Amino acid sequence: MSALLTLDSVCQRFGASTALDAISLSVEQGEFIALLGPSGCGKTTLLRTIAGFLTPTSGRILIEDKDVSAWAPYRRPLNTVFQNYALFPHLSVLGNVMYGPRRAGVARRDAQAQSHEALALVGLTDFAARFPRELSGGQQQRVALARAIVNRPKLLLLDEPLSALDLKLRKRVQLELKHLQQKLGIAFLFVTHDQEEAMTMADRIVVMHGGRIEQVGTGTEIYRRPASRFVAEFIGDANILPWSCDDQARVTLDGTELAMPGHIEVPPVARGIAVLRPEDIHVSPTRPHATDDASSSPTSADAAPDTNETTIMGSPSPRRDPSTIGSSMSTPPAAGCMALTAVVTDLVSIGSHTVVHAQAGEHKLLARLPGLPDASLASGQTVTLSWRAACMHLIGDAA
Amino acid sequence: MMSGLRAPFLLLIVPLVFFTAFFLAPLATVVVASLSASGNESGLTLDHYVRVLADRYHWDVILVTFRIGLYTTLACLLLGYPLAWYLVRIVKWRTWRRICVIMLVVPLFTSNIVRSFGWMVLLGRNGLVNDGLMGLGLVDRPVRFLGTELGILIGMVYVLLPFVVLAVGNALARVDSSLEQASSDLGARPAATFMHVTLPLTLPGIVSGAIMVFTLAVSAYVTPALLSGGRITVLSMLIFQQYSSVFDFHYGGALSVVLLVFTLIMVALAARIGTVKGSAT
Amino acid sequence: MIARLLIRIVAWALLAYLVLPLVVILGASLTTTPFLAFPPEGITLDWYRKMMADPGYVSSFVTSTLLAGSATILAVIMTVPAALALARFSFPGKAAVSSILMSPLVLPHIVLGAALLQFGAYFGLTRSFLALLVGHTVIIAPFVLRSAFALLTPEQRALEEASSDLGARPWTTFFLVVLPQIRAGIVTGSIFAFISSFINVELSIFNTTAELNTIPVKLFNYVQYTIDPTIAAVSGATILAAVVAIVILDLTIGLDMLSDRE
Repeated sequence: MSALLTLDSVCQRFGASTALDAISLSVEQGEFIALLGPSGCGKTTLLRTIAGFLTPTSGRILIEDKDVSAWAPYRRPLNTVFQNYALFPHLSVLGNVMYGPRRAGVARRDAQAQSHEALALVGLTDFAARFPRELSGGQQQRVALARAIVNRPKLLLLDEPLSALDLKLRKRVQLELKHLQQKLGIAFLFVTHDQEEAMTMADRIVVMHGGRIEQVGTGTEIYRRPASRFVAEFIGDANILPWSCDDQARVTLDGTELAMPGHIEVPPVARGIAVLRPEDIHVSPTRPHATDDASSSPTSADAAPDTNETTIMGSPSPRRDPSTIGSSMSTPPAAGCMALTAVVTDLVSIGSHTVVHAQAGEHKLLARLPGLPDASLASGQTVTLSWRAACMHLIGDAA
Repeated sequence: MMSGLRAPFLLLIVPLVFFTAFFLAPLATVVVASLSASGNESGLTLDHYVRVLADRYHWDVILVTFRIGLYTTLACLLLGYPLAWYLVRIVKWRTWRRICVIMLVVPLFTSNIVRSFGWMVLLGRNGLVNDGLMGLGLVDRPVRFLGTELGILIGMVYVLLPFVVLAVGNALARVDSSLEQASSDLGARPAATFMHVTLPLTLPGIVSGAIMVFTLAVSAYVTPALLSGGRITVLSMLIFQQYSSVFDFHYGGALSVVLLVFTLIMVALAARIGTVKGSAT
Repeated sequence: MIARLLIRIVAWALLAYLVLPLVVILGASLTTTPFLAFPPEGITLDWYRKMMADPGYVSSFVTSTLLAGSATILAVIMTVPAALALARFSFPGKAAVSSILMSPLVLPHIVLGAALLQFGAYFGLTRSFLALLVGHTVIIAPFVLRSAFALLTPEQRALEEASSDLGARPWTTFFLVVLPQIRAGIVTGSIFAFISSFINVELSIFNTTAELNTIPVKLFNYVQYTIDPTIAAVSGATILAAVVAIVILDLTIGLDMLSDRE
């Protein structure tokens, strides 16, 4: 089965600058794809190129195996929901939605019927006679949506359509859009800079940076197995730990070396970075007198993976008490763990969770604990950060 | 916005007094004169207005004036829209557009006399236009332009074209390009996008500009006076005659009031149309 | 695309049409023949010299310039306060005031000229510089008013409020905060006002005499009876003056007025 949309090495150059660098991607029927990235990464340029407002400098765009690279927008079987909605101010809501069918030659009565259906789908049945200037931002956005889907496009392109809505409304609309997409079975290509939005709605996420695709995958894949440092840091928070491997794989932080447990799979290169998510780090207080030799001992990596002891493996000196003080400081499982000592610099409670900023030497680390902070945890305190080595995702440096 | 009367009063007292004395009062005088009986009689009368309607010759003058005005406006629209389109949508090089705007505005800054004089030279029997027409073999003998409505039309279009170009140009420049892109995205070919999106959105600005041009064309004096060759009379010329040679201030007043009222109606109309459909947002 | 090509052709033809009469006049003013000829036979500045040596023309230029200058100054003095009043205050009759002050722009000047003549006759205010002055001031005032008003935006008002908040009295705020901001509008409006007065015919013909004449009226009289290259030279001089004015305008506010908002 051929893909709905195939991009084959699409490049977009404006003079000396390259906005899109050899983008290759395929989108299947009925998929919800998010184009995610920071401002200037090229996601809107890519969308406009697919829509036909820009002609690629090189490369091809295929829709169901037909090369549409040189086709004008009005020939392509896709529709766009613009960021500013672009509703025609001189036409009523119904007039706006009927525009596409009428241009395609559909008879007025049929076009009206189809348009009413589309308006019902987006929940704007009673608004047909109103004019865009009388509507709120959320309502305008839905008219723009109806206007696009009434044409039954194979692919719908959405250019940050929710960016003008306030937070609560945006979250509600995200789910509504997802349901609508599933109901209609139209493939959606959705541009956003908000990673939560992408994770909420998309089947697959395309992370873009500097005109290139960094990674394509589901939300979980991108989060747990980021392909590059950029993806790791753009999606959620990440602790980046440099690792190297000669005979023994180890993580090195400002001269402190932590050996990795043997069962950890290491990419076939000599060095790279390890991505560690804040919620995978456990925080427990360290007794002050034991901090000197705490972080300098290599971890022992041979404990059975299933053991659930309450001590942290890794340091021969008894520098911590395994007895936890409060639920936020639950003892980590000992198997395959790594640990180091750090000093808490900031403690931020968001209500649903607590973010612990810590400093180990020159290195800043972030940990996230569920719930409210424990009474024993305070800024300036020396703590032990520990984590299961398996939680780290290793990325190898390119050769 | 502050309220209270003292400050605005102080700010406006001088201009308002000035305008009352030298604008409103003189106009009032004209109105009064138009309603006053001529000769030594006193009292008000509508005789002069009746005369405006009844006098066949003067009725013809009014007709000619409006006809020339209408053709001028139509010609300005038909020619001005493409030129405006060229300047707004086709010209990419900023400096060239600036030069073009200069070429558009320099005529506006020269006196009507000078402009009409130029056409007198160009449209004369031995002028460039006839030379060109005969050189191209389009005519055997020089065509008479001066003293015809066509000649006046050419001169008037010359004077009023920049207004239309600027009005249309501004309307075009204000159209949100994302609306035209949306139209294309929804399947409309360029001609359809123009018909269904661009034209409707620019229409209020264009119509209001056209009304202004029509009004200016109907009130024009210098250009018709110079290009008429003594053979054609328009309303303003008639009015001027009443004050400079005939010395019938009553009849002149009636004619003036007719022109004034017409102008006021047109201005109100233009203002209404310009704001009804509002901006293109 | 064919349509674009056609539009290009039409546009170029129209631009040539716009420039043609002015080029013809300038060219004809340089001819060595004693009659108007275009293309000119030979190049000479004699007609310009003749114009500058003619006391009639010189005095007309002086009159036109003085008239335009005084009318502009008068217009600025009156309309800047008016612009302030209209932009910053609400009061009953505001719309009427605005209409009255702006209406000379749209009403037929020939009627205004006639009205001023008739009205002025009662007071002996005819055929004098003063008579010309008041009429010209009335018809050019709207230019300054419009330009100044356009710059008294809500953002501008925020600056004035800040100034007031910092302890400045109204006069001080006006001179230190308002005037610098609307200065560009006053200058632009003044340029349009000056030019409008300079080139005006319909008002001036009612109040000029053999001794007190403006350039346009002088030309108007001559053109109907004699056509010799001196007239072309006088016209040419005004065309050059217009070009200079436009270039100044372009350099101060920039005339890229019709660019697409991108």
